[in-house]
Amino acid sequence: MLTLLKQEAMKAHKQNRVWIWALLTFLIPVIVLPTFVKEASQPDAYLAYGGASIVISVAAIVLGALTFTQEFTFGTIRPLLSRQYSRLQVFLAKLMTVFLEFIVIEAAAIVGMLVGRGLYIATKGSENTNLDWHSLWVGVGSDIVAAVYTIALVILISNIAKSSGAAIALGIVVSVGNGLLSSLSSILVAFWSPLKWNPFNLYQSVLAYDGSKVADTIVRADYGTDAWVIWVVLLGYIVVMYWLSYFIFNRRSV
Amino acid sequence: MSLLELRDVSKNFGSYKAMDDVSFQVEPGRIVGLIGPNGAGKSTTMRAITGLMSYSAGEVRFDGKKVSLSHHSSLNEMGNLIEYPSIYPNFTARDHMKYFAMDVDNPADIDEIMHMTEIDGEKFGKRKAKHFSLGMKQRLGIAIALVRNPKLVVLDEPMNGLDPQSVRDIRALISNLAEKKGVSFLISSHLLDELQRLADDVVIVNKGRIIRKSTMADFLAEDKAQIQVTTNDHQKMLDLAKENGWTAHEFNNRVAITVDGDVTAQLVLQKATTAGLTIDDIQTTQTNLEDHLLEVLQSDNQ
Repeated sequence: MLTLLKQEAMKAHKQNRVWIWALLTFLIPVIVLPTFVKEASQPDAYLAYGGASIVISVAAIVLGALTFTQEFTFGTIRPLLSRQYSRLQVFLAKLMTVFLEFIVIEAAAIVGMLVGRGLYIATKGSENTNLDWHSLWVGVGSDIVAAVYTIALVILISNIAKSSGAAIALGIVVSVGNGLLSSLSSILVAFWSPLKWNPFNLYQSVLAYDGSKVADTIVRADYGTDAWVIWVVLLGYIVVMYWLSYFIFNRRSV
Repeated sequence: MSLLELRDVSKNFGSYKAMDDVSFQVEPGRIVGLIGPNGAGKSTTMRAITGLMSYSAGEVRFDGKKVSLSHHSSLNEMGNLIEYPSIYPNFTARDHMKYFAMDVDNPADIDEIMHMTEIDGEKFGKRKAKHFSLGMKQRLGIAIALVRNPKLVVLDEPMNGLDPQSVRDIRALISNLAEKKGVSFLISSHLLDELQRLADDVVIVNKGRIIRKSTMADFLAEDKAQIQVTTNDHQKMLDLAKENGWTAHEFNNRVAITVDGDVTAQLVLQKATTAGLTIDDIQTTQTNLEDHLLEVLQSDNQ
């Protein structure tokens, strides 16, 4: 397993894929925070890493989509699978690498945000530059949940279609097109109430949940249950998506 | 115990039988040629051997252990190049070697393999594989198949894209590894002249079935010289051959008469002329693997 992780890391390193994304998520807050964000918006901008949060979402989708589909595109899927390792080991190594890459990119964004904030303070003073660490870590937690969910979806699509394009497109719709999916979910739920338990709707609810009493009330009104239940159900969907992805990967003749 | 053993392996794609009760062995240190026409099931067989494909029935065993889509722990001692060289575009040749050498505790000497397969030159150097020509990729693919110090190397069309000198070099490399290090090879190739020079054993596959397996020497020994005649009436020529007790068949728009006993070109010419046949061409040929294979396949197809 360690060998497979080393090999995945070597591929990631040689393709520069992590470093390019990490550089981007680092540079965006460094440039944006001291240059384009007004004083009043500084605290909120810190929580969005000066605008890099959208790049993090896209990076997670692209990395998740490419990790399997590139092996098909390059034709390297055969040497990858015709070795002593089980397909589960190969699958897990790829998954772990994607998550490690995501953590590096997220960390680069946080460091970039801190540097950008420092530059702002150095050039424009410390007025209204309070960083709410609690909200920042809640945001990191949300990013991780979002990444685990979107990567599950993207990997499932990429294993079904062997197409990075389809996986990336759907991933971006899920990740970025919140409004569109919320509207679609509302239509579905209006049509038949149990459809509120669809994974897209749950994902939106979990992302909107901030632990406050108001959020608890909203969840209870929407789902008729406690917030932890929607977390557990979403987790169930995520587990099923990863399992389905592995199931397809494990049975595929190449 | 055979190093590789296939026992009654079958693979169906719907109603199409890609492998039909395929059974053969590869012994240690032997070079086995797997030959047959396009679509005969060679690549499918190789994919089953390398754990890339499930099979409907039978068993593949390598080094005593079962190989299937889900169980292939023994594949660390098998190298392969199936259909086309698979490369990571951003890796150099040396990166590829390092990458695949990680798989085993005692890989081959990377420098030695790179030197033997001639991928250590300036042309390769720090160039990324995406800039390699087909021949360069092919050499790299062969080097990758060898870097894990395998007991068996499965090569599907290894000579593809190689110039004549490279073909000769790869042939020498394979012979050398088999002879000196006891490495076994299972090779499919359309370059039958090369296989004839290289392989110890031959397995012929047609329509998913094994139709012949023997040593190369025995297979070629079956192949006798022929007198090939082009006439104005092939059927009449075949009838004439039958009357005279000669073994003959129509082949490549000619009648091929096996040289046996006292049959000579002169005798055939004399009898044909007497029978009123017009001879456009007559020649005696010592057939080779290619001709004999075509005959065997033609006979199987009939």
